[in-house]
Amino acid sequence: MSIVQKNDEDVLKLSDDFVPVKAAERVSMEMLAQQLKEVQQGIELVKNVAKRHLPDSDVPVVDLPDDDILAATPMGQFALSASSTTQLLANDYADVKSNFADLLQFFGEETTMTPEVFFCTINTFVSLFDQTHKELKRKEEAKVSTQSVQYELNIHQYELSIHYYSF
Amino acid sequence: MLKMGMPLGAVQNALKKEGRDANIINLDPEKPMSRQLQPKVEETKKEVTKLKGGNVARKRIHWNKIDESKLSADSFWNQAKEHSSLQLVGLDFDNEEFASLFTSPVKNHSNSEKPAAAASKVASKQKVQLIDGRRRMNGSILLTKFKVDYKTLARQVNAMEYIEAEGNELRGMLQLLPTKDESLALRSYLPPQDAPQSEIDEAIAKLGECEQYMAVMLDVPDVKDKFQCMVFRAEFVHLAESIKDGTKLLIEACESVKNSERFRKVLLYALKLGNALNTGGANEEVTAITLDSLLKLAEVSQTEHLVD
Repeated sequence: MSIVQKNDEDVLKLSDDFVPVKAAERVSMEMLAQQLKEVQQGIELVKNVAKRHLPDSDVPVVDLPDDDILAATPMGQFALSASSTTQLLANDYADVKSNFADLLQFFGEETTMTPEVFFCTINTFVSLFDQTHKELKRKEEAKVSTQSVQYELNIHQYELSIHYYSF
Repeated sequence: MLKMGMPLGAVQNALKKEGRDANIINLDPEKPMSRQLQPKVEETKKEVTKLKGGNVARKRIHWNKIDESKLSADSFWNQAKEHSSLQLVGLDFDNEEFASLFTSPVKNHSNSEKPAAAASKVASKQKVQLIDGRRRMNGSILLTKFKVDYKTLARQVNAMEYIEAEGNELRGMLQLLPTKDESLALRSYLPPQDAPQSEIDEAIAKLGECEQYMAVMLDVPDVKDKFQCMVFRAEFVHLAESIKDGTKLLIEACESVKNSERFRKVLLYALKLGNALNTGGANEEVTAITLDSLLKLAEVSQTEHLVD
């Protein structure tokens, strides 16, 4: 820490860079994958049920494309909009997966490491870093105050000696 | 009707509705009817005389019947059937006590001055209960939140329309759908489906809150799947937001770590310091370290303090 302090004061603000990392250690990729799967299965169920229970219509539904059939009911319409939202979520999830894989590769970490472990390690390090910085700062302040006391003592002795010699 | 799996109580109700003697169902088809009916008639006469001519309403148990075809040959119920009659006939019991415990006189208000409305009010309070008490209580608490008429609710569920309800409330309603046994009990209580609507409505109105809800849901096809869709719809936004927030946080965290110049510098300082400490050792002149090695710097530093 003192090496960092002496060489690069700016690096001491490391925790400012890692604000989003604090919350990220609580996000589980596994949980995200499970939730995404749950949503995709839910949409499939909704689509199936909506297609099974269509309102009476003169047009034979077998000839229509799936999306048109679904658009005929409120639940079908929901399934269509939810389906496109979920596609975006799946894309986001794929982005996270590739970004994190790149990050692991960048730092040469094992590809099997989970984001929870990775970000937890970083958070622990950053908090130790900040803690040590505070400790160091406290020690320095104590040193400075000791020095100033010593300085005042020296001045006092000097004044006394002048007084002595003037006699 | 019994062979079709209808509960005994339901068959007796059906006989009553047609103006026949409900006790006929308890008779042995192998023996002549006249001989079997005689003592019963006498017994009934006795009871009627004891109750001074007033009409009596016998309390009923709406229990769940096990289908005989599901019973194994050596089950208790089959043994019980073989060893004795399933009626009270032949048992020593006090008719008066039976009457006091299980029957209540039905008062005739036609001559009294009280208006008929009062009588109907009392009758309307006596709701028919067919399901387990705890389930009924929990269900009633849930259903009181929904002021909508159950028939309207059933229509909305059938069309899977949007219902203003939380996901957990809809989940509660899903769990409150009648089970197989409850469906059987309700079907046996309700008039047949081809009966006039007014008769069905009247029977439903006599049911408790939960039973009314279950009764209307009985006729919604594919009701469970439809409810599951509605639950999913109600919970979708929350679930989608949770996934979106999670992915957003992870992407931001990945970028902040990868783009932090300060972190790269720290890693470099750590590497240099570690190499300086390890000079002459096995880990001399290392070019890369795992991130968890950073945590060991703190350990080294603490050990140094201990040594000091």
